[in-house]
Amino acid sequence: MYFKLSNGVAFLIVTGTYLTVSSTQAEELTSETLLTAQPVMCVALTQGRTCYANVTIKWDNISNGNFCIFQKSTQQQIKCWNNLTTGVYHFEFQSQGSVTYQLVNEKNHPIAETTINVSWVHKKSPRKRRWRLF
Amino acid sequence: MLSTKNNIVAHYLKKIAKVAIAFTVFISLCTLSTQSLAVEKELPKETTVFNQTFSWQAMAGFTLYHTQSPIIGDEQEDEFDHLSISLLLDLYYKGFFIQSNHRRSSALLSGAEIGYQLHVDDNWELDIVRKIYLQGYNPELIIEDKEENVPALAGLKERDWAPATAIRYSYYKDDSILSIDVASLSPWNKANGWLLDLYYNDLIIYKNWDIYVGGSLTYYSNNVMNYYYGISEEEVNQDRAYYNPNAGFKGIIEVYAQYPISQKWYFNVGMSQTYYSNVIGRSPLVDKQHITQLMLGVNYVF
Repeated sequence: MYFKLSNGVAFLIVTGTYLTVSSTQAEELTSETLLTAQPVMCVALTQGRTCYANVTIKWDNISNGNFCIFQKSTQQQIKCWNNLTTGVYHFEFQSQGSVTYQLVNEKNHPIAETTINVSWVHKKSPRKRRWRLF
Repeated sequence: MLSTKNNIVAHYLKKIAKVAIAFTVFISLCTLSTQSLAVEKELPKETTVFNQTFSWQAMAGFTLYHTQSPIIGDEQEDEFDHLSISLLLDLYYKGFFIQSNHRRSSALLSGAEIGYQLHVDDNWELDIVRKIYLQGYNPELIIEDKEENVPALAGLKERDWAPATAIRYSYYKDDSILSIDVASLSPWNKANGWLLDLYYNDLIIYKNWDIYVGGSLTYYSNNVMNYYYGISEEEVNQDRAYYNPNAGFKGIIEVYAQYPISQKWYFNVGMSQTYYSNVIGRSPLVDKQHITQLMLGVNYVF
């Protein structure tokens, strides 16, 4: 029985991996700078629920400089780097809706942005039905 | 004899078909899901037919499960018995509903219900429901599956499934639900009794996980018990004595969890522990008074 269940777990993990490899790269504002987030999609079970994901944001620029990442809608500063051409930031994403992040240079100009989209499996429903397991 | 052979052939054909369908549907749905990564979708889930609007939901489930039955010899015999595919279809129209059991591995028949909402309030609801409350068993098929004689079941009459009509009261508080079903089995059903079912379930949300913890207590009347676990005078033989049980009950505790894989797929896992009362445990047809059931699967949401 346990052998069969372990086979099932492996099968599901392979399936899950196959289903989530369709992430795409974030957009660029300038050709000199690349800002990417992985994953770019956070999926919650139900519409309106807070979605959680471990996100990695990475940026690359062709020249050294001082850069900060901001959350676009709130203008909240997330992380800054000094005199670097590349940076990586890991954090736990928590949001009920899509969030756009911007890379801002020392002149306070956004030079790249990327969006983490929030989606869901089930549309929110007023029905509260529960089902027993067996 | 011919009828028995036909039953056996049909039984094995059903198993082969189940695996073939599971494979085909699974591959098709995997392909579909990679083509539909829309952002912040607003699935209408409504269909208008003859100017009337229905709301609906459809899912397909692929489940590996381990189950036990209290009935002697009724076991999962091969790997196909551990695999299940389900088509879950819910339909709502002006208070009428058809809803499948989203947890069950064999949801199409087991746990699906048709009903009408008599009253809906913010925190409580009263419904009239028609569903199958008890699964029957066919002693002949159990013996065929086991490929050896089970003396306690040999020559025993088949016990039919038990469709019943119920009044259900449900009370909602935050993420919890308490429901009480009072059900009467169909007068034309051989059991022709009644049951009372009390069910509680609480949702615990942890990050993207939905974890449901619950339990139920079901009371069965004398007639129900006698039909499913009793031995009538004409069924008595040297391996099973006459048994005419009184009312009995079944208690279940369960935990079930869901996790989103993508916009179309979610993973689910669950475990339940069932306890049958002594009056069931003493039946010559029963060899397990406690049973454990496990399930692990993925569901595709259309």
